[in-house]
Amino acid sequence: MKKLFIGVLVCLCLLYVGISRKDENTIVIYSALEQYRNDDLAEHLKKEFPNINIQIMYLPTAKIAAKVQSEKEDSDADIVLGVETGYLEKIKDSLADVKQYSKLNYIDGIEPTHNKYLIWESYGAGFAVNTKILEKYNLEEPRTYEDLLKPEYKDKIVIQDPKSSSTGYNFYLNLTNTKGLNNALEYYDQLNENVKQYSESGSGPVKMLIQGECAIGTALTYQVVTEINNGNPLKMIYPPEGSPYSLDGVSIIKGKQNSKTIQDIFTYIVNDFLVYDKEKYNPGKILENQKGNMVNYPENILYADMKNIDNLKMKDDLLKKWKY
Amino acid sequence: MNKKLTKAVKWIVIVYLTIHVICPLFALIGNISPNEIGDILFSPQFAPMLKNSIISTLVTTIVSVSIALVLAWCVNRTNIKHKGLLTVLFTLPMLIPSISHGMGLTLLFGDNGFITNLTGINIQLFGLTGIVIGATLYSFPMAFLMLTDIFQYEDYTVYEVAQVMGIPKKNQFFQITLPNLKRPLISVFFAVFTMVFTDYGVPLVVGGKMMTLPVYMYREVIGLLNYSAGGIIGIILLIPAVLAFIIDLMNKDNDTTGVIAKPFIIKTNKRRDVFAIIFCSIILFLISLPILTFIILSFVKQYPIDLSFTFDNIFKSIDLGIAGYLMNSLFIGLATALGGTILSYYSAYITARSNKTFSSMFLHLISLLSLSIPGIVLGLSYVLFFKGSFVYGTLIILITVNITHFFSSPYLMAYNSLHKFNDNLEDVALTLGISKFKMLFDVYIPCTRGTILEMFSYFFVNSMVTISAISFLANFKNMSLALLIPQFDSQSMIEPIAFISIIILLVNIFAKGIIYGLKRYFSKKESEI
Repeated sequence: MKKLFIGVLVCLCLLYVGISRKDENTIVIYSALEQYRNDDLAEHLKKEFPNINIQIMYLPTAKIAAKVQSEKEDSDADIVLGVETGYLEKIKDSLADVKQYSKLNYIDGIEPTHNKYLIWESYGAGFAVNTKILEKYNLEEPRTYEDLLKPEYKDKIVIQDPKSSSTGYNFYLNLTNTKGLNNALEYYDQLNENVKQYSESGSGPVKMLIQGECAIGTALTYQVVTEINNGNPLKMIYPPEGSPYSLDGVSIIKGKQNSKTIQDIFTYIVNDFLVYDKEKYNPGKILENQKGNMVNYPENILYADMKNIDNLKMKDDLLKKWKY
Repeated sequence: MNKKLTKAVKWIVIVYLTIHVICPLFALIGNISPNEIGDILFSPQFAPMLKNSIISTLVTTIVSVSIALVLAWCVNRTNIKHKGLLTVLFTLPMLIPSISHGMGLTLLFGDNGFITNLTGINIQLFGLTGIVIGATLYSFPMAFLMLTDIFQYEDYTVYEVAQVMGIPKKNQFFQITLPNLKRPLISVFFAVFTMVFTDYGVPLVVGGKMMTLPVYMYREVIGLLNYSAGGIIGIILLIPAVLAFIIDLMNKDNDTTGVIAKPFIIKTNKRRDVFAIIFCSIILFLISLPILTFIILSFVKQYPIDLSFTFDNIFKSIDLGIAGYLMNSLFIGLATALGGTILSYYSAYITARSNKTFSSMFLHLISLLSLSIPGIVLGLSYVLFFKGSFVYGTLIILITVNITHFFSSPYLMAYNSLHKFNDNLEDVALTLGISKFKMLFDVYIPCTRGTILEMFSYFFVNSMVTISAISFLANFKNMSLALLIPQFDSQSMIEPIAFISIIILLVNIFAKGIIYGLKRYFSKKESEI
């Protein structure tokens, strides 16, 4: 028994050495970007900073904001990436001044009025359908929000939970702007009959469409186009009200900007990688002279009415009224 | 001096448990903002969530306990072969996180699942069906183990008398077996009810739009850090657990059984044995399905569009830093097992082997209390109580919360073992001048090695699979492997989830194997002596 006890203690010591070695000098990035973009970023950072251990952790945007709001400067994150600007406004007191690290020319009117974060991307959304699954159940493609209420779509639809996903909130806000709050809530009550699942993250519906678990979902344009280009049988459809959209940003947690390593990594991310990421993954325009290499990306998208997108109080009120 | 030291250690244990069990619960209650109670209880989603939780839990509990009862009967009251192996296989679902069961079911019975496509039958998994199947899968092994234990200690004498009196078999079952099982069945029913009522893993994945209270709590607290709302739901989740605790205590007070006069003799009955073989085979087949799916899925390119064989998921998982999370898990698991075993064994030693003083009764009550605190509630209580302290955000808090979460069952194992020793042993030792510590190290520990190893294994395995309490406390640097599953699930990354579930299962099987080997080694050594 004594030998066993000593054996367990030795194992614990060895594991502890392994764990603490891993912790030393690790730079942590909380990212709400999709895993494939995080993987690509990790690969680029590995090449650019071979001697630094950089870990990228995916978290839904609301979760990142909630964690930073709770932990403030004690957060184990050094950099936050892909967080919706509404949430960044909410946590801006816990963020460092970062404007000076950017060398890029943003298009007019897109940048925040303060220096607490830089814009990372603009993202629009719409309906995404899995054409094979529609075919399997002999269903037509939906064209309007009203179409989604048709009884034949029962349990075929997946949408985001607005409480945890900014994409879900964008749809909710747009419907509130166009229909009025009561009508929007009534619409969601009716839509609930056809919804199979409320996904926690913005990219959840795309994944469920790929798995064939649902036929229709609300999804971001660039995510759907990426999957179409990967050979998945998806298609993007925009309702007449237009594509709900918003911006997300990138910043450093307050106090962490004093590290030269973090400054260097951040500078690389918000300049070189930002341009690369926009070209490869999301052509939504935020920069002057921005190039986009993504094939099949739709042109002349009609964008939706997103008034009050920065109104945090309204957001809180709307989310309190959300039932599902 | 020795007496003083014993007393000091006893009080250290009491203070430790008070800080780690009682104080966090007070912090939870104290954190609730009164205005929000009405907001939540009268909100439009509360009543449906409560109804969903109660209905899904009730149906699951009935199904789960019924299956467990038949299985326990098959293993203990028939002449089927390989009973030891079957007992191990039936508990396999306990060795992977509950959320993995939900994921496995989606892959099998979802709209585009393997079995749905193969048979053309769609069971409409998402919603009540999914929650019931998933929750049954992970909860029936616990009920099975508890019922097996009860079957093993049933006295055969009553059956012998019944046979002599010519009472038919059917009447024996209704008039002896069922009344014998009534009280333990109530305990098992409540234990399963509490377990299912407070789980968020299965409903998160296959609940569809059927929102249950734990999922709501998980989303409010983890997603939005709304601690007050979490606290209110937490208190509601405590209700069945507290009821179970009280009923269990009452049950034990009235317990008149306990002394086995004669172990059960199983007679020859071919028809009964064939039924048992068929039933066990069906359950084994169903248990193995999700596990087999995970193995297949770990090695396919992209489900369901490209099912070609690949090692990509393994390389990708390694790139995602899975090795680091595994090291965290092993460290947390081993430290919890070591610390938990020492603490629960010593607590049981105090309560089972010393006079019934107020302090030892208090210690016994706290030790049992932790069983009734759901992990999800415990985790939130820890956040509220320890936030801002030096342990918050460290590995220490993950270890202590796990020790508290899993404390009661190993404590009871030790308590029952230590209780079996002759009551006069301490008096004899005192007369001979043998100290309490010497008795502990030279008599009790060597004689209860098997129990200690089982306690260690219980703490370790549960720490490896848990995602409830620690999900509130872990951060990126100390996160365990199991916590990556809800993480990846939010992006529906099924291939890495499958691979992680398999790794956790293998580690747990390996750990169980070592414990089994050690137990055999010790019993062989004992028989040689």
